[in-house]
Amino acid sequence: MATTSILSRTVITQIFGTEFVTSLEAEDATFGDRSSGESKSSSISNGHIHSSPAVGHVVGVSQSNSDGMKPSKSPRTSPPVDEMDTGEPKKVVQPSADVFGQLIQRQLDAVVEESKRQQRVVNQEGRLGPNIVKYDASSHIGTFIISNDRLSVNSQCNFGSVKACSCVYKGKWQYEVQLGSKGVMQIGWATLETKFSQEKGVGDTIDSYAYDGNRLRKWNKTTSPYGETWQAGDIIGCCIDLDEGKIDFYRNGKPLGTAFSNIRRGPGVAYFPAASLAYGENIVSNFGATPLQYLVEGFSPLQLQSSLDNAKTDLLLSWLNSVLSLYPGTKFCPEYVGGANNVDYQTLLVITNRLIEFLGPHLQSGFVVEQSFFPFFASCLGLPEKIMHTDIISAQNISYDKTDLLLDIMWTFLEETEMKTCLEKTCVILMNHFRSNSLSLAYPYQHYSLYCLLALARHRATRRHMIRYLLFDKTKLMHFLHVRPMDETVLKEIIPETWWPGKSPENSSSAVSYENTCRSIQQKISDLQSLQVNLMKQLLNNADGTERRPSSRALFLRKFRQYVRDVVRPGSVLHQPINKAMATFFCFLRTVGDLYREEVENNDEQKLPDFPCSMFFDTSISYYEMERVGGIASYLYKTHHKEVCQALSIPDYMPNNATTTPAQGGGRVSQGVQRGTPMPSALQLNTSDEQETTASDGSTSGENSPSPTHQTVSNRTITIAVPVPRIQPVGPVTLAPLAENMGILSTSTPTGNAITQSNGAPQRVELGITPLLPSRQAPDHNNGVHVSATSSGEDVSTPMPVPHLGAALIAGTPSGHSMLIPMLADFRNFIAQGERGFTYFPGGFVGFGGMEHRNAIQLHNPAVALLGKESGMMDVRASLRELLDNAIIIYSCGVQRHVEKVVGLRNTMEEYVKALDRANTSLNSASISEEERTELVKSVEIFTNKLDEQARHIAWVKSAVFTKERQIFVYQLLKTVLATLKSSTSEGVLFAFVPEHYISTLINLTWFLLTQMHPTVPHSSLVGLEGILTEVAEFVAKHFADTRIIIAETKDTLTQALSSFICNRTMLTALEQMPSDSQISMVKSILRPYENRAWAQSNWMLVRFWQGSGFGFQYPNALEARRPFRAKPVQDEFGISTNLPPTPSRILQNHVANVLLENQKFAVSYIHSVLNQLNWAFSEFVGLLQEIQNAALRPERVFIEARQLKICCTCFELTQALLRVVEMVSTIASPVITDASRESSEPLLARLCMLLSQIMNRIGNNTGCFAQVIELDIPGLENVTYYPLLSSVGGILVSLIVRDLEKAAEAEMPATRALLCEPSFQVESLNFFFGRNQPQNLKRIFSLQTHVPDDVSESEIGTLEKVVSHLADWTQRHETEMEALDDDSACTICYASPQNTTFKPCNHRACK
Amino acid sequence: MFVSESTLNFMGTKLQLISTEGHSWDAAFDPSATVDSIKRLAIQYFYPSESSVNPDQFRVIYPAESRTLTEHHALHEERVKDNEVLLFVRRRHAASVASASTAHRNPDAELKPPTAADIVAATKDLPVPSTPVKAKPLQEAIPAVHALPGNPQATHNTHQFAFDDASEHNVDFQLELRKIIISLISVMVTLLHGNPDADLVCQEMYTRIKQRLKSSAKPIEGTTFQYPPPPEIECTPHGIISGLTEAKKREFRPNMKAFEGLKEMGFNDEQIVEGLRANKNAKDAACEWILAGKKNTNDEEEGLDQNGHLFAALVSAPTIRLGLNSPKTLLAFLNILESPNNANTWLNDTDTAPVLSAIFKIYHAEKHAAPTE
Repeated sequence: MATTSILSRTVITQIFGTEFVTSLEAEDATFGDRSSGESKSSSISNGHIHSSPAVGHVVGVSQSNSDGMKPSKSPRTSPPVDEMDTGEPKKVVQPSADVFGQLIQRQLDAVVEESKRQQRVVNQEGRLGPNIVKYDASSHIGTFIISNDRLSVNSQCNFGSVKACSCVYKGKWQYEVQLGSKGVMQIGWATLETKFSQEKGVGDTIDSYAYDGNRLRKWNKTTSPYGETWQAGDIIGCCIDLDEGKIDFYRNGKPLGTAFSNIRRGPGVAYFPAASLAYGENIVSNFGATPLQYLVEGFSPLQLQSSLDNAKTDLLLSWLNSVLSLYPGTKFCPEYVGGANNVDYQTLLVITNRLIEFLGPHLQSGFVVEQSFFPFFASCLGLPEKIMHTDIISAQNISYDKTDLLLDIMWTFLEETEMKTCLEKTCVILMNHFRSNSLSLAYPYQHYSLYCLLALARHRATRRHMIRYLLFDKTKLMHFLHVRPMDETVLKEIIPETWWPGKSPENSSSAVSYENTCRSIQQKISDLQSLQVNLMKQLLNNADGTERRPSSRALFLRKFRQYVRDVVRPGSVLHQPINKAMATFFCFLRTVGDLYREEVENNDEQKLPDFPCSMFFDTSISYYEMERVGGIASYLYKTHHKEVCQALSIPDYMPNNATTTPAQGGGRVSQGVQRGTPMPSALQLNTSDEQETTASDGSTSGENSPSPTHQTVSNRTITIAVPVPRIQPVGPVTLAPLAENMGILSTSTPTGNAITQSNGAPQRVELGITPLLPSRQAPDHNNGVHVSATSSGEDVSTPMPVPHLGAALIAGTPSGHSMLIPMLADFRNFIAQGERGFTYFPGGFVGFGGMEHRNAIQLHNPAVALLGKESGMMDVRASLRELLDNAIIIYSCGVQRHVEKVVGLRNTMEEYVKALDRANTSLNSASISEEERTELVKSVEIFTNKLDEQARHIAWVKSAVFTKERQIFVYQLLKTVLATLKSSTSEGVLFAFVPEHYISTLINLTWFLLTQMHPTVPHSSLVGLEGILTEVAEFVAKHFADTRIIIAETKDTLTQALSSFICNRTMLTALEQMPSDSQISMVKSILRPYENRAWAQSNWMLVRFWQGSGFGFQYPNALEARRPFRAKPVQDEFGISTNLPPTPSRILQNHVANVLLENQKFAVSYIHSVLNQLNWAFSEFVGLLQEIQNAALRPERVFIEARQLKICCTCFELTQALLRVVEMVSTIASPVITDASRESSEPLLARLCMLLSQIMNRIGNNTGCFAQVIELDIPGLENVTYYPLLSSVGGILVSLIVRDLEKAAEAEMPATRALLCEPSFQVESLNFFFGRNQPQNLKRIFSLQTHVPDDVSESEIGTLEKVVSHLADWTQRHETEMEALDDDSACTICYASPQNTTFKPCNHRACK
Repeated sequence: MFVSESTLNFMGTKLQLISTEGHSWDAAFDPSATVDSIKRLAIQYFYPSESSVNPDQFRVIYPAESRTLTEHHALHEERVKDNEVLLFVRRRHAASVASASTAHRNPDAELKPPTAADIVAATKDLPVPSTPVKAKPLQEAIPAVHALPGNPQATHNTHQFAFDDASEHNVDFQLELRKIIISLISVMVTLLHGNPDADLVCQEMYTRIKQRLKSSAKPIEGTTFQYPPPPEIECTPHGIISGLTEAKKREFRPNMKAFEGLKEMGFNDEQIVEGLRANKNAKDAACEWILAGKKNTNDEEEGLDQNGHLFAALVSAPTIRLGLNSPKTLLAFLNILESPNNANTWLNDTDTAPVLSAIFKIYHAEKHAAPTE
């Protein structure tokens, strides 16, 4: 014998039993020979090996060198000399027989035989088709996304049907469907003959049978009620019994009863599993590829699954279990007593390896993993192997030692691919578990899978593998961070008593019990959430890095950042709404909070890390090309390099010669490429802020770059110009990580080597991207994308077509869209492959072409470069900051949508409460008929039921979604973001680097606290909220006109925010409380003249300051609210017709007055601009009205375009809003207009009078187009009425004239005089205000009187009356005067006023 | 490289290699020896007689750090310590994995679903159920199947009867919607009794309808036919509905070509207008209609069966119920009755959209409801 077995007999006995050892002894000479000394030398007790080192060296000493070097270790146990073959190893001829392996194999075979005997062989009869059952991708109707395994389908059409590839005609069969959504789906069975169509799905035809849990129906040509409401995550069992001829459905194992009986059977009839799904609905089917969750007794899964593999696996795992318990201290390797030379330990190693050798292949099957391995893993953890809905998972028995050992062993002995497959399958199982619906508050499945996941995440190698490959790619971490709401029926059980405001007093017993239930739900969910946070903390382990490898935390952040870049960020190619955004957001927040407390502060105070504002430009966090408020990062780094370097105290990274001038824009692009040359084939994408075309790009770079690499034949730059119309976030960023692939891409163009920089233009055409950058382009459109790729030119043969790259890059353009879809898969590959290269670029990429800056900054800025992303521990603060930043990104990308949904629920509930109230009141009134009573009783019943249901949902919201704890986090985050932004704004030009989403987050968080979480979680308990709100208000007020903010999106965000602040009492108070210099500067910004800017919003803000103070502008019951039966205009952006209650602000009005009065020049130019816009808006409006009138008057029925109506309405509203602003100005700052001593006031007044007269002439009569269009009752023009315009005009008149009432002489009444001098002024139109001179046959007779008292007060009308009679009076006097005036003395231009001005030097005369 | 101990004498890294089978080999290696070379030597030692083994079939596991050593690394690169154990184990290659697992290769080829012929072949011996529900067609089916084995058409044809009423479901949705709205309005009349806003709505619609009726009080263009003066309508929802029907009737414009044709046949104007209206301007149908002496007796539109499922489902849906309490819904309903084109406006309105979409949803769910349940 050449070698000797070292296997320890005792160990083998412990694992396999004596019988096994006997056989082993009998067959393996080497084993038997050393058995004698065995039992004596090694003693095993309590599952631990207390080994003696002496025995450890029994045998196996190298033969070849025995004489020369073998230390005589232990003479006592030295094997007999004859055993120790003295020959050279080459000479040993005896094969080392694998008796041990054969024995194991024999045992396995025996098990197989046994189970074959026990189990009747699976009945093949009765089914037809492939053994592996999947959906038949060739026979579906409609568009589907079908997964690679063809088991999950996602409908992309209104109603599509798909069926499986195998059918059954005899026997009892079952398959399961896990719902991914809860909408309209018809799931069941169909025969081959049933022909589906876009309208007809499973169940809509004869011989097809389906259940739809959305509509609670079963379908077989006709439909009838059946089953329960289903929820996403439910597992629906579909059973067909062809012996009895019936079909049953099960929901999460619960029978829903026989749906169909006497189904057709017999020759020619065979049923396929089939499903029809409405748009967006998705399901995952299990035909038996993995064990059915709720297999019904007597039924078989459709896919035949040999249970023999499982029997073998089970046996192997039971052995493995014994092996695990024998490892000393349940540790795999480290400091076992006696070191590596311990025989028992070595035996264990060998046996473990042998078992794994057999086990490995089995672990590749999803079925085996789920059926055998996963329960084994769970039991190692101390969890039950299988759980039920009624179980309660407690952490008591959980011990991670054994799973750590198991994972160690698996990583050591399994082949890497096997381990990865096994882990992947395990994670999928965990996710399926996690996503299933819980039937109790104990959330057994969720706890179960979180504990398992925790066990996996504890283990270093497993954790790293999961972070790298599973949690962001295959299974999404976000799913595990969510807590699925309870299903309706369960909610009914756990919330026996409901309450809502108005049902009973707040201290009633039902209210109290409701609150208590909410609290207990909150407790339970909080437990689950803590587990989720624990999981996050495990994944964010920061201690497992070494000098060669980053910590898990660094890995996690890197992967998450990539995920953000590829998926979350709007505008990325693969963008999709982030799953479970709200849960993820809060989980991140809580994790950051916990970690910050544990690692930084070391105290119990709940706090979030702060952001230094340098974070936005020191490149420690990569924002890819997310927009900064000042534009695109690469541009900012170029423009502000001096300031950046100064702020970071690093040398300037921009060479002096590369000063930025527009003409060299292209050259800079190429420099980026050159600087990237350390990477042999890096792709650089650069958004050029100028509009150079590629040709000039090429030439400039050629001249400016004498780099040798650049001019060699092997390194080419291809520049592709891609049009990105109107898109602000430009294209996807896939940068250097794609390095390897890009070489392929760029070199495989048909023209190959012919491509040079200078022929970029023709190249573009060949790529098929025809709509090129126009050669001339407005300078302010920076939307060109230059793609420059250098490549080493070796991969010419690779047939990857370039147009694909193009397609990826023009994502979002109309032309690129269709090409994009097939591209996605490739693109995913790029990203996946690129990941390896990613390690070289910590911190990711600043943006297109920002590489060089980033590298330079990181090179010179050790504070950033050594954040530990590469190796060892990450800087704690930096890492937490990045994590928090991620939370902010998640928030800005998806949370808002979820929040609105929840708020929507609350709002509908309020409606029902009101409706119920009304119904009850009517019921109690005496005078109702029997018929009415019946209906009302019915209503009350329906509303009460609905409210019960909603109250349960709200209970859920209160305890799981909008909680106090979360509110505090939101508040803290708001403070953090605010502090960051405030400090950034003091950084001068560097404020431009602030990412756009920080601003929107600031505002959204404010609303989140104020109106969304509140009143579910009242904000009154937040300490210092008022101060924070004032600061927010101040920030918004200061920056809504900040010139450092370039991008339109942020400007819009801020302006919108300010407008909405002004409408909200709380926020308005905040605005009023901010320092008065901030208020004044805000008012000044609002009052900038309306030329060359978007003024409608500013104007609207002023209207809001005023609304509630103006003439007939009190709207105590808003006009709209009193007309509930009007169709609402789709949206009124700038109008006043919103339902918001007025929130006039005296303080801000005063500021407006002061600003205007202080600076007459400014005031005049402002008012002129307002009048200009008023003139424009009103003439537009009238023009459109005439068009509409013409169209309506035509004999044939003409369809008026909705767009036209909309524009008309908008113009009307603008007119109205502008009039109101004029009213405000003329009321609070009247001297500006009426004080003749003030500069330019007279022409201003004259102009105002002209405009007013024009408007009154058009509106104030019954013959104009206005009256006629109103008579037509055109839907869409409901808001166009007399009142808004006439009341504002009346208000202006009053404000102008009211002071003149007291005066006696015309000279003292500048306004009256100006009006009388206005040729188009007609005193008759004033009478219109009071409904005089109106023909009585009209439908609508306008009179302000009818608006008393809702809109106008008596006293207001009285004042107006006085003004009108004053005007009428003076008109008469004026006319008499005019009559006296002879023609000669009348002005030759207007013939209305006397000539009283003489022009010099010509001496012509005219009126003033 | 591996250096013979004779030259190095205790200088190397002492290691114990253990084979898969549990055999052991103590040896010392130069720290610069690569893992690969160690593998080669180990093969010579453990499997001296097996010529087919090669290093690729094995890997070396370093249990102390629970990892596999990299082939081309030297021992010192892998930081293998002295006196450690190395396991020399067989690799399992992908091929063995595939064959051992239950996964089948080339699944596409095997995923062909059975054809009708396959099914017929497989099921030909199945007994015909003793109490088949659809006994008649089945018995017909059997000879057909036998006659044309493998022809899916054969089995298909036998079910033709089942599809005959398909068109029945294809009812005009517009018509159905009118019915639904009319019956819902009748509920609203009760619920909104005495509601001032509802009265206002009625008032508004009433004036509008009156206007419409007034303007139709002329002879129909191109004919001498003139409707009698419009009946006085009530200012209630029902009055408005009948007014709408009347107005619609009066606003019908006959196809003049068809009209002339019929006129030549000698019918009088009233007959022709009525006939064309009843038959949607189809000349031949109108002709037959007139000849048959039919009359447009029932122009009144009817609502749904108040005892039917659909109606019950509609009025007990909370969203719809809520809507029925709002005068605005009444306006929307009347407005839609006035012209179906208005439905879009109201579908965009945030107040009425929930009601209308609930109606659509329930209608679609219930339209196929089994008549008896």
